[in-house]
This record gives sequence, structure tokens and C-alpha cells, in this order.
Amino acid sequence: MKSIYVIIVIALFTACTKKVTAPPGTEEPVTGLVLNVSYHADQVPLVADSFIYTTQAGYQYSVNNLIYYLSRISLIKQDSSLVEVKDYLFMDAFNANTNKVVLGAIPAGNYIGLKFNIGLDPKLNRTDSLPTTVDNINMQWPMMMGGGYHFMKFEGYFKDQGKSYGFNMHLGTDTCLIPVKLYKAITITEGTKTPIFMNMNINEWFRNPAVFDFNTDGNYIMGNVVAMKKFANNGVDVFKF
Amino acid sequence: MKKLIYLSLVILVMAYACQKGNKLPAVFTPTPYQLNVPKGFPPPYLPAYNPLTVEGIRLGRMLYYDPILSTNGRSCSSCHNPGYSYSYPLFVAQSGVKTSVPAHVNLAWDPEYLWDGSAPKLDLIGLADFGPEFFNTNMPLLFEKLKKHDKYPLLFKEAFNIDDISTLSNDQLQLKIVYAISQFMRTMISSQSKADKFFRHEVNLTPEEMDGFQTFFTERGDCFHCHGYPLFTSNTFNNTGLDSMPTGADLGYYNVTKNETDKGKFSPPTLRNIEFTAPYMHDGRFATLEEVVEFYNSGVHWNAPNIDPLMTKPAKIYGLNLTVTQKANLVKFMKTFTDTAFLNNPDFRSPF
Ligand code: HEC
Ligand code: HEC
Repeated sequence: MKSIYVIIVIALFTACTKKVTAPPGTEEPVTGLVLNVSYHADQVPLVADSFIYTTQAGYQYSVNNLIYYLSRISLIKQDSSLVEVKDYLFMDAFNANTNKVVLGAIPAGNYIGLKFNIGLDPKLNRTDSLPTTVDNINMQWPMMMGGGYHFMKFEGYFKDQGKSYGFNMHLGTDTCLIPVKLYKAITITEGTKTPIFMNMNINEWFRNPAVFDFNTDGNYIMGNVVAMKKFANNGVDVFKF
Repeated sequence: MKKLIYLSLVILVMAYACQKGNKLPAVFTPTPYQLNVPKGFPPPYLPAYNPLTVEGIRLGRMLYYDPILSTNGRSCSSCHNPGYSYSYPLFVAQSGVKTSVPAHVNLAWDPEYLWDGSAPKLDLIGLADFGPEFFNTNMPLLFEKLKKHDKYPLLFKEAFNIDDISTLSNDQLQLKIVYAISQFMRTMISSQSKADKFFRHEVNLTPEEMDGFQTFFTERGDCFHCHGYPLFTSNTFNNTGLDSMPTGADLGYYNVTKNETDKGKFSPPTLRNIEFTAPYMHDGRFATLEEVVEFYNSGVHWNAPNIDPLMTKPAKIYGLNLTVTQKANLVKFMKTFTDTAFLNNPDFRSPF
């Protein structure tokens, strides 16, 4: 009879013990890569709100906001086929969390490079296709202007004849999607997270193939198809390993 | 063996008897409340330390309307009046500083509270209201009135499991009060305005409203970058160029961070029910929406410190060059942010 009490007591206690496990979503995938992104203007690291950069056209400029999407992030296999590791990422140059992103569940193997878009590919670039997070909502591209999302908001100030003005390099719409391919041997080993380091040189946005001039091309380019396209073309080589 | 069974019985009976004496169970578990998040809204900020419960919201709603908290006849609803979308024309502090009273609408989605963003937690804002400028609360008196009240002891028990509020310190009681009120405020959701219905393809706008929509949501007026749909606010701080040389309260976020680059920045307010929340801007400097539109159209101070890059329009122009009709239509469009279902919702009105 007494044993029943013992059992009940044990049952009571074991019912209440919680298993110590990591909260859902925090377990990191074992085989994958860590995408580290840093920002600089030629040799100078990116800091907010400092007039220490110069565009190719000769304007001193500062940056106070640089947010954008990467999409269809894929590793390139030796036979140049692709392994998609992430559909899209929201990136914020001034937010440490998005400058170091773990991408998981990648088949181990040897890869020869990384391919992605700056901006959202047409499948994702439709109004309401992304979850309604505050970031995604703030990136909406109005229906009136074609719908979808901003691919990038790159904002700051430039100096022109002693006066400072704002610039808003906002990109969006399917035709401004920027394809990027970076080549480098990347080995993904079972059970480890391989770090990849990637830099955005913000000065490249203003040169190569075409010099972008705030005065003649525009300081506010959203909805200005010619200026957006010119700026987007300069974006193909902003990233380097 | 039998002894043990008797003992357990006695304990059970005692527990039951004890419960009868208090008219309440020894431990009350409040009923979790599920916030109804409208389609298209981001996830609300719901802090784990103050979970929404049916009983907490009930208590909060009563306290929101009850001058019992003050010694000057005021309640939260004196300055957050339902007729003005839970706002009030203007608050003038003893120092003479004028502050426009923000509406209480969709507060569960606001990441930074107060005009200058100085309050990151909704659950603590109400604490300031016990001070002399607002409620001038007499704490011993408040304890006494709450204890004697025919409803509050039960409501506090149900909401927070407090058997006897006199066991709380002043700070603890104030905290429970503002927690309950915050729970209530989080339920005040607006998503039934004409603009909402338009975005959900349920109604059409008039041609005038449509033209205003075009101004608001294209580079023509560029309002959407800071007042985007569905919250009509963004999680940023912006200097819109209201003052070329801001001082005092006009320094905004700078008064919180002391960063030079934050001078004149404010958190963009929601524009929901904007028709009912005049006067406008943090200090109520504009009496009408027409004046607000004229400011964006021709009154922006280009030389303001840290003026937001978004205020520089194409061709380095500060201003919109809207026609008279476009300005009038923009105001008409902003009036479609009025949500009468919200304004008349009996759940948010006084329980007295
Ligand atoms: C005497 C008038 C007055 C009373 C009474 C009052 N408020 Fe306010 N309330 C204001 C003013 C003015 C502001 C704006 C202050 C600022 O931003 O500097 C404000 C702002 C707020 C905000 C921030 C809203 C936002 O969007 O940032 C909240 C929340 C709030 N009050 C809640 C309450 C609660 C809860 C009570 C009752 C406990 C209360 N208020 C009583 C005048 C009042
Ligand atoms: C750069 C961001 C930004 C842009 C663009 C912008 N606003 Fe604002 N808006 C703000 C901020 C910040 C405030 C609060 C300023 C203050 O109180 O000092 C504000 C305040 C307002 C208010 C007053 C709200 C209240 O409760 O008092 C209205 C109305 C308004 N804006 C409408 C518009 C319209 C219409 C446009 C487009 C023509 C627009 N805004 C463009 C950031 C912006």
C-alpha cells in the first residue's frame, strides 16, 4: 500500500520536471555556413552619419540608412548547378544581427562560389508575398508604383557647393533586380559551419560601369526608371569576397 | 493508512472552507486573452511580463475611466477621450510647454512611445501619471478607496491574484494599475477604416480620395516612406524640418540620446483617426490637416539639422509643389483613415 504513495510522489515530481532543451528556433543547424557581411567605401569602413566618403563624381557624402534584401542565395557547384541555401534575407548595414547570418542545412561538399540577387526575385517581389514583419512592411513598394518591395533603401547626405542635401537611392521593381556571382572555393564540411566573409564597397554604387551623379542623375530615384536602372547596373560588383 | 486518508480529507475540507470564507479560490488563474491581429498587421509587441488576460483587461478598462486614481477628478480618459480617438486637443504643462496628446490606437504595434521616443515600454508610461502634473495621486488615500470599493478588491484578485492590496508597496500598486491599463490599451485595435477596406479591395475610393492616395503613396507626396500601411508609422525617428533651429522639447529624440544626429527627430505618429486628433505635431503647432499638408508642401526648413534625407525631393527640392486640388484631395484621403467602428466600439468605452 505504502508503495502507492511513493509512486504517486515520484509521479508528481517527474510530471513537473521540465526537460532542459534550447527554446525552439535557437538550435543552430550543424552543417552550414556563416555569412559575414561588412561594409566599406574603398579603404574606409562604413560608419553612420559621417561626411567622410566621396563619390566618383566628386561629392562628399555620408550614410544614415542602408537596408536591402538578398534573395535566392545559392552555392554554386563544380558543375555550375545551384544549391539554394536561403530564399531571402533582410539586411541592415547598421545592425550587427544581420551582418552575421547562419545559413543551415546545406549538403556537405565542395562549391566554387556564391550566387544571389540584391533585391527580391519576381516570385518574391509581389505585394504581401513576405511575412508581415515590421521590416518587410517598411520595405513595401506602393501598389500604385507597381507593388512588391523596395530592394534597397540607401539614404544619406551629399555636399554640393557647400550645401548639404539628402539622397535617397531606393531601388525596386523587377527590372532593377541585381544578379551577383562571386567565385571562390567553399568547402562545406559535415557537422561544421563554414564562415564566408563578404564586403560591400559602397563607393561602387556610384561608378562602374557608369558614373552616377546626384545632380544630373538624381538624388531621389524611386520611380525614376532611368536613374534606378543606372544605379542598379552599378550594383553588380559592389560585393567582393 | 486510514489515518492518512482522514488527514487528507481534513486538509481538503479546510481548504474548501477557507475558500468560502474569502468568497474566492485561494489561487485564481486569469483567463488568457488572444489578441485578434488584423490581416496584414505585423506581430504585436506583447511582453511576457504582462500577459493579456480577460480579467486584467476588465480591470484596466475600469481604471482607465476611473477618477479614483487622482485627487483632481482626472482619469486617463480625461486626456485620452473617446470622442477624440482617445486623445485630447492639447496638454499644456505647468512649465508652459505644449504637447499634443497622442491617440490611443494600435498601441500594441508602437515600438517607441511618446513623441520623442523616450518610453520604450507601454507598460510603464502610466506611472508618470500619478505625479502632480497629471493625477496628483495621494497614495494612502488611493489604497483606502480601492480597499473599500465594492468591485476593485475582487477585480485585483481575479487579474493578479492579489488577496489584499494593502500588502503591496506604493510602487507595486502603481505597477499593477498601469499593467492592467496597458492590457486594456493593447486591445484598442483599429483596422476597419475606409482605407483598410480599400486596401483589402472591399470598397472603392472617390476620385478625389483616389488622387490623394496617389499623392500619399507615390513619390509625388512621398508620405508612405514614414507613414506606410497598415500602421501609418515606421520604427524610425525622423526630422521633418519643422524648425531650422530646434530648442527645448523641439529637440525630440536628442533629449533622450544626446546624439547630435538626433536633433529634431521624432517618431512618426500613426495617422489613424487623424481627423479627430487636432492639433497636429508634437506641440500641436498646426490646427488643421490643411496646415499640415501646406507644411509638407512649402514649409519644410531645408536647413534643419539632420533633416531626413527623405525630405529632399527630386532635384534637391524641399517641398512638393502640389496644386490646390491635390492638397485638398490629400486631406480627403487622410480622412479615410477614420475608423468609426473603432471609435464607437463599446468594448473600449467607459464601463461606468
Ligand atoms: C493631463 C492629461 C493626461 C492624462 C490625465 C493622461 N495622459 Fe497620457 N498622455 C498625455 C500627453 C500630453 C501625452 C504625450 C506626452 C509626450 O509624448 O511627451 C500622453 C501620452 C500617453 C501615451 C503614449 C502614446 C504614444 O503613442 O506614444 C500613453 C500610452 C498614455 N499617455 C497613457 C496614459 C494612461 C494609461 C493614463 C492614465 C493612467 C494617461 N495617459 C493619462 C496626457 C495625459
Ligand atoms: C521623413 C518621414 C516623414 C515623411 C516623409 C512624412 N512624415 Fe508626416 N510625420 C513624420 C514625423 C516624424 C511626424 C511627427 C513630427 C513632430 O511631431 O514633430 C509626422 C507628423 C505628421 C502628421 C501629424 C500627426 C499628429 O498626430 O499630429 C501628419 C498629419 C502627417 N505627418 C502627414 C504626413 C503627410 C500627408 C505626408 C506626405 C506629404 C507626410 N506626413 C510625410 C514623418 C514623416
